[in-house]
Parts: sequence; C-alpha cells; structure tokens
Amino acid sequence: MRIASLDEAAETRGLRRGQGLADARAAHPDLDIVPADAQADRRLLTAIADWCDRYTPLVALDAPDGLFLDISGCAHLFGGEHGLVADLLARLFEQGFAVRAAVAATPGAAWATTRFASGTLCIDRGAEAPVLAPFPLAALRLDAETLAGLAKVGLKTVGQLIDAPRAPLARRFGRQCLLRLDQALGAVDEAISPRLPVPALSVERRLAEPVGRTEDVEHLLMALATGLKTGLERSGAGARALEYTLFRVDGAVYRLCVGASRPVRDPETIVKLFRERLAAMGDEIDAGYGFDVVRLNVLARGELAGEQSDFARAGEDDPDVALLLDRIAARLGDGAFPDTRHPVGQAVAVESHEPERAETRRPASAARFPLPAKQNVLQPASPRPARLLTVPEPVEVVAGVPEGPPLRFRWRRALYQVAKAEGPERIGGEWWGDEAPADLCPVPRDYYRVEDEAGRRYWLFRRGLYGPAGRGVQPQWFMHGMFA
Amino acid sequence: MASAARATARATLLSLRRQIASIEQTPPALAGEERGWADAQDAERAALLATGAVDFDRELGGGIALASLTEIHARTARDAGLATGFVAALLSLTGAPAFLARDPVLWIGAPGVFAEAGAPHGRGLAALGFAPERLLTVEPKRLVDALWVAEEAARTRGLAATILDMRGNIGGFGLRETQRLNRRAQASGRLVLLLRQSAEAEASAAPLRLVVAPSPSAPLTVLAGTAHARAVPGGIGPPGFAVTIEKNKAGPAGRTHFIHWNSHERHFYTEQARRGGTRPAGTAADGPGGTLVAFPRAGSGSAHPGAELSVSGDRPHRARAPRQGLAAEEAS
Repeated sequence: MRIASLDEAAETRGLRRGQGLADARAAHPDLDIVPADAQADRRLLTAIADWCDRYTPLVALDAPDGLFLDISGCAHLFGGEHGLVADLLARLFEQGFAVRAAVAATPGAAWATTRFASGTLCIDRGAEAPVLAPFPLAALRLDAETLAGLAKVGLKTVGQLIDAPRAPLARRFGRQCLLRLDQALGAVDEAISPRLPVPALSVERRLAEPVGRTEDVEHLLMALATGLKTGLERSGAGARALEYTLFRVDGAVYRLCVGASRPVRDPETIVKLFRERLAAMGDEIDAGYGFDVVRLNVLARGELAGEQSDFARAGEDDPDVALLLDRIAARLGDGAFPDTRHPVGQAVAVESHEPERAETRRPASAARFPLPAKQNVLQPASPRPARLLTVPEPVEVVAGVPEGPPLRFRWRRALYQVAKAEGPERIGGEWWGDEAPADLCPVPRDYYRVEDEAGRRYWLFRRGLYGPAGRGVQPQWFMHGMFA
Repeated sequence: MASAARATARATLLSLRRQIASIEQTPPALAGEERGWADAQDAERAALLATGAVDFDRELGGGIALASLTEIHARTARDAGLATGFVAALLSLTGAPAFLARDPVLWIGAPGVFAEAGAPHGRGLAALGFAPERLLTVEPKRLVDALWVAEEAARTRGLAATILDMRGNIGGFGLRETQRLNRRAQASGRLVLLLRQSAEAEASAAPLRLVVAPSPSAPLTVLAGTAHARAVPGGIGPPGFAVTIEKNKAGPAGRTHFIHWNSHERHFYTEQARRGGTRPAGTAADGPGGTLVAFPRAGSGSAHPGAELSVSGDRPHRARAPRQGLAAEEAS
C-alpha cells in the first residue's frame, strides 16, 4: 500500500506520493488514511466540470485531476481573463477545493503553467516560450519512457528542449516529444474534446438572488424560451432536443433533457414539455439554497418553416398527438438524449414468421400522424392471438394421439377441456438469420388454435418432434397467447 | 309496446343515418339537419357507437356512448384475450365515426398487466379488422404515471381511443379517478375504455360497464352464402363473446348477450339474426354478393318506418343486418 495522494498538512511533514503506507504510519502515527477511490475521484471531477459549465459550454476532462475550459469568447462576460480566473478560483476555494489555474492560448501551455508556475498566470499568445522555458520536461505531458530518455541525454528543462536540434530528437525519441512541445508553443493546434455536446443555441440568465421555488424555475424557463424563439426564428429552425441546466449556488448542477418529435419553437410548448420533466424528477431536484444560473440549450435542431395555419383542420401532422407523445416521453423517459428510447411504442410488423419476432415496437417519435387512410386491413394468413405472452408458458397436455391436437391441458394450475382444435401450423426456426443457431437445425414448433368448453380460444404449441421409436424424445407443450 | 317499437325504429334510423354520414365522411349533425358548427360539436359528443347486434344496441340506448368512460371487465386473466378482441372489434366497427377507424389508439398497460396477460399483438388484432399500425402501447412503471398518461390521452382529440388496461382492484384507483377520466372523455368526445381483468366491480363514474365472458365460436363454414354452405368439423369460426351489461345508465342492465364478430364486414351479430338469415337457404343465394353471413331480401314481416330507408348499394348486408335482427326478435 502506497500513498496515492496527500494534503498540504501531510506534505509539510515531509511525506510524498508513492511512499509506503507502513513507513508513513511509523513516522506519523496520527495520519488520517482514506482508501483511494478512483471512481469517486472521477465523479467529483465530473461534478466540478458540470459546475464549470457556468463559465463556458466547452469543458473537457483531463483525468485524473484536471479540467480544460475553452473560454474563447466567454471571458469578457466575467471581466476579462483575469476576472474569470479570479472568480473561478474564489468560488471553488469557497467550496473547499485547492485549485490552481492558468490561462494560455494553447492547452499545453495552460496545462504546464497550472502545474509548474508559482502563481496564477495569464499568458498571451506567442509569449509561451519564455514562460515555459524554466519548467521541467514533465510539464510537456510526455510519457515516462521519453522523460527518462531525455533525462539520460541531459535535457532537463523545456528551454533546453526548445534549443536542441529537432531532427535528432525526433529520430531518437519519436514524434510525440516534439509534437507536445509544438502544441504547448502554439506551432501545432490542439483541440480539446468537450465533455458534453456543444449546444447549437443557448440562452442563460444569471440571478442576483437565487431562486428555489418550482414556479420561479418555470417562470425563468418561460423567459429563456422566449429569448430562444428569436434565435430559432432567425435560423428558420426549431428545437428537437432541449436541455435546461440549473446551477445551484453550492455547486450542484441539474440537467433536464426533453425531446420533441417535431421541431418546436413556441415557448409555451417548451415549458409544457419541461413541466412534465420537472414533475417526473420530483424530489430528485433539491433546490437547497437556490439556483443562481439557469440556462436553456438547444442540443438538436430541425428545420421548421414558418407556417401559416389553415382555417379548417389541415397540416400533415396532428399537433395533439405529437405533443402528447413528447410530454409522455418527458415524463416517463429517463431524461437521456431523446429519440433513442421513447416510452410509447408503435407496433411494426417484421418479416419473420417466428411469433416472438414477428412484431416489434418502434419508438413512437418516429411515427407520423395521422396515418394514411386505409380501407382494408390485411388479415394474417394464419391465426394469430390477440394477446401474445412475452414468454411461452409450459403447459401439461394430454393428446389423443402423440402427434395430434390436445384433448386436455393444464395451464396456470387450471384444467381445460378442449372442444375444438385447429392445426397444426408448423413454424420452423429461421436458420438463415443472423442469430441462427450453430447446428442450423432449430427445433420446429407445431401450433394449434384450440377452444375450450367455455369458449376461450388459446394458441398452444408443441416444441420438438417425436423421435423414432425407442429414442424417447418427449416434446414439450407451451401456451403462447389468447385469441379473442 | 308500439311506442317502444317506434323508439327502437327511430334509434335504428338514427344509427343508419350516422352510418351513411360516416361513409360519406361528413359530420353526422350536418348530414342530419341544417346546423351550425357548435351543434356539430355537440352532436359529436352525443354520438353513439352502434355495434350491429340489435338487442345489445337497443339496451344500450342505441350503442356505446363515445363521449364517456366505458368499463370493460374480464373476470379472470385468461379472459384478457377475449376482452382485448372485443375492444379491437369496437375500434374497427364499420359505420363508426371516421376518426375511430383512422386515428391512432393509445393502449396503456398498468404496471404488470402485459407480463401477466400478454401484450396486445398487432397481427392478432389485424385478424379482427384493426389496423395494427394504429396501435401505440405504453407501459409506465408506476400506476400514477399510467393514470397521468390516461388522463392526458383522454383529452387528446387526435387519438381515436384511450385504453387503460388494468389488473385487479388497485389501491390508487377508485371513484375519483374514474370521474376524472369520464370528465375528460366527455370534454374530448373520444372513446375512453377501462379494460379491467380479474377485478371486482367497485364504485365508478362510468355510465356503462360490460363484462366480457367466453362464448363458443360460431361454426366455420365454407362456401358461405351459397346453397352448398357447410360447416367445417372442428373448425373455429367467428369468435363469440358473452357480453353482460352489468351497469347501464341508458337502459336495462343484467342481461347477457351472446354475440359474434364478423371480421370481414366488421360488425357484431347475434346467432339469432344469423339463423333467421340462413334458414331459407334457397333465397340466400340470390342476395347480391354472397358473403360469410347472408340475409334474405327484406320485406317479409317488418313494417318499421326505417324499412323505407334507401341505403347506398355498396353495403347491402351491413345495412340490412339490424332490420333482420329485429324481425327475428319479433318472430321469436
């Protein structure tokens, strides 16, 4: 067991990372020891990243202990780069974190300065080299092997590496070494990968006085949605997916997602969708001391032409049903990015004769209503039950002859006498399909439609075939559905 | 007796008018008399869904009211298939208002229902005449969510019907919830069905409660409508339903009706009416366009005002079936 991480008090006592735990305990018996938990660290980092969204939507994780914030175009909102860094450091310090920060034109320079500079620095574009020069080579985010190699040839600081001839370096230590150097100095661009999708449009409001009541949260949403409307109108688009982010004063961040099956722009509709989401979240949202920043993001857009409503009922889609489905999704969905799992399913026939696979539920968000008018319904060629059991249930059957229809059967502890029987309809496995069994000879099923003495109609099947005499194969019977 | 007969005839006449109106795709009120828009809305709310089984419709006062909550019970879970089929049949009746056969249907399964009694199967419903692509199913994890979805769906005019599929008597569902559903159904004028399996009757705001029980299927016939019609031994024909009117605000309750579903012509009929029709086998052949169930030419015994109605020629059997049922009823 070794020390993975330690606080300032422990550092002042002369402990360091990687030291054996037994040694440290022997020297300082009063140490507080907490087992390292990488998962929890990651969660904490993610939570801080969430909180940092208040400064910029482009936040990238730099595990295990760093965050990149792309503040291009955001700094002026907080009184410039210095103002932003000061605000961020002060707020995080109040939350109890020891944080270092630096602003630079390249991620590499910012990374190095944060970790190796003595104070908080803001480096201008092109001024990286003199700042980075005194830093050790570890500031360049190189792997351990390259670092050891460079140390062997006597290169210890970034400045030495800048002055060293490039070609032999590249030959000896690979491209990574120079790439990192160029990235830090701005000769090669480096992009950070934001943690969350970058919203197409975003409206936010900062509050002098935090709000906590649901009515206020909805009221703010209405204001934000109204602000969003002009932006959407200008681009001729409507929102397909929206995210409402609530920043609590003490750092917690709540994100509510809703989806719309058709692009929406109307603020009232947007508020209606979020109202269901808020209701579904219920107690999960704890306003605590209130929210001080609220933001409405458009995650996905769709084209929405300016429409002119008809006097009579017209239009391709029925807004009633579309809105209902969206609201159901907002209330029952898991709040993830929409369209993937709509709680409402539309029955869709599949080209398969295996009853379990003959029909699937397609997310209703893909459906368009009203449906095309249809005079005749195509009736299935062979009988299919009105209700199909998800898993066929075993039944005990007495049949007149081994391969004949059932005479009596017992299902769910009740005994039934068969009055009429139709069948069999043999359904074999789909050996040509993707999930065909290895032996290419799936067990066939013989389906019977039977009616008991009372008049209930069932769909029973016998799985397997009777083997040749003496083989002793006993087919099994199952209940698979109920007819009208 | 005479006044009752006249009232029945009037109901028949009205339902026929409505059928014609829906065939011609005009709002029923406009087809009937010269009326304004507001009245058309009112008329839609007063619309009835005539099932085609004459006795049954008469006891319901003309049919199942569209703008109200209707309870359909199945005594046991194994009757769920019957109840499901009955609902699917109701939703695909010919002569119903156009929206009922066109718009999507939201089928809400209370938690655990689909696991216990199976989920509605599109192909099986198609066998009854219901277009499976209209079927939207949702199974919320909590009862309160199911009720919320049901209430929201009940007031959505874009849906043909809302079906709340429930099992047993559940704590969170009682008179107040049915009142809310009923109120929303009245406002929207759309069918709201409460499908309950293995539940005891309890206080409810629904004006109509039907209990669907098993009834043997009709014989499966080949060459129906011809002189050579004969039953297939052991064959399962049009499904039978024993429907008991357990609660009825519009008429008498307590009687059990044994009705069958004709999935080709998409209406219910009683065995009595069918027998009345098939008895003179010779005359059945000269009816235009032989079908599974054939009726002789009208004009023998019934002298209702409705008999003089001329109906469009493309659906002669459908129009004649109720009258034949009446005639058979009076003859017996």
